[in-house]
Amino acid sequence: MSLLPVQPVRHAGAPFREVFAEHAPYVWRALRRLGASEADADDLCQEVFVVVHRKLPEFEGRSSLRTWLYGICVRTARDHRRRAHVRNETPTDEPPDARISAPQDAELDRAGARARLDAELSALEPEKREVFVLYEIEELTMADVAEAVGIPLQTAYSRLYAARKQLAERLADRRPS
Amino acid sequence: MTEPRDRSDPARLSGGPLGDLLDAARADLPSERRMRDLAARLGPLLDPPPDGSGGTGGAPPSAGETSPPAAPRSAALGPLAVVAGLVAATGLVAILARSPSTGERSQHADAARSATAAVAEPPLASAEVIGAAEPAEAPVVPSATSSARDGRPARPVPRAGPSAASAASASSASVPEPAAAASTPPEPPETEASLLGRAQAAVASSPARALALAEEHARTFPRGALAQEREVIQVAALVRLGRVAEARARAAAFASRFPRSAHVRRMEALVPGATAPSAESTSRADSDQKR
Repeated sequence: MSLLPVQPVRHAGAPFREVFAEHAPYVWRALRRLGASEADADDLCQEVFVVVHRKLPEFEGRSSLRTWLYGICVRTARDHRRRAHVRNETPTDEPPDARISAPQDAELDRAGARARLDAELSALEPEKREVFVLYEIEELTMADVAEAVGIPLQTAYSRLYAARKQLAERLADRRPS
Repeated sequence: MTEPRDRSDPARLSGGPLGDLLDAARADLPSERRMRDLAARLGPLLDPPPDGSGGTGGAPPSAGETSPPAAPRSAALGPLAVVAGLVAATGLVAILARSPSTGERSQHADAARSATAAVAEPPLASAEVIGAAEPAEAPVVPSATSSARDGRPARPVPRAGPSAASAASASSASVPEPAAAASTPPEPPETEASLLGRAQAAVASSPARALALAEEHARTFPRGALAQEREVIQVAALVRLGRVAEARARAAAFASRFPRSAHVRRMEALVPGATAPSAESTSRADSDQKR
């Protein structure tokens, strides 16, 4: 390892600063739903944008910038999963009891809902989770999802439907009678 | 930030138990404060020097303030997290050795060679980065060969800044290092960055060695431009060795000497409570605390 002064980079297209300002909140949100804790999402978001900074000059616009960003995001989350696996950190599979979150506070409700969703998402295979998150939460088109994840479009469809089915079944099982 | 569906795309889920959960997730955007902290971490990348003269070891505090990961997380990620923190804090690109031998290999490399090798190596911590060696955006060391004589890579002259850190860097950058004449080896001496890089690489695996290398750095480059980075490495190594009292004292001394340094927060993460509780660092530390 060595340390070298960093050289400022001039981007032919969108300046890095603008890319960060416009997309960082969504990158962070996606990282969260791809399994990163809040604290980890900060670190991973930083990682993503260090990569973006380095690669932006090479970005040729063959996909949309957003799709390209989500591709980096997905790969960073995968790396994180591997590290987390090595550290033996397994996400909890049990959602918190929704009844605990009293409905007097809307934000508390949303936090409870997110925790519940995260618990359900973590029960999905990572491949399905990626497609589901990018389509249902980040609202990419399926073509862009397939590109960001790096799979054929048909595979993306089948993963999306499988994820939906699995989640619906789990939620139905948990619904209080 | 949504895109319309393609005609063949299914309708997105809404309503029902799952739709409600998804709505909550869609609304889960980071707070402005979190975004500011993130921007601060990337400060040097977001705010390159306006004169385009390259990176600087003395970025203004506003751009150089960082939110390094907390200590346990640093431990989990090993030296990578530390390096990432240094990068964000100082605007230095850290080039990681991919194999344990790389650090040794560079030991006797001259400045020009190590600069070239470093350019060919991928910077930074993630596998994404490590997986792709792309020199397209590689940092160019200004006139590396011109300073190869004394074995150190050329540094861009830091901008004059109001902070003590900037002043220290500026003065150290403008004063030539005394050559290590007493023990001059036949080959060109190791560069400051290379020596410190080896120290950094050893923090996790061999903190005693890291400490020895850092002390060697202090002797060889008493006015080095990377003195602050050396201090971080020393404190991290002392913590690893369990010499917490020494680490605490060093961190406190650092904080009082460089109160506005971006590394103060890293010191605080390494030895909680060691740095003087300035208003700024306290509020930032609070904002970092996770539920």
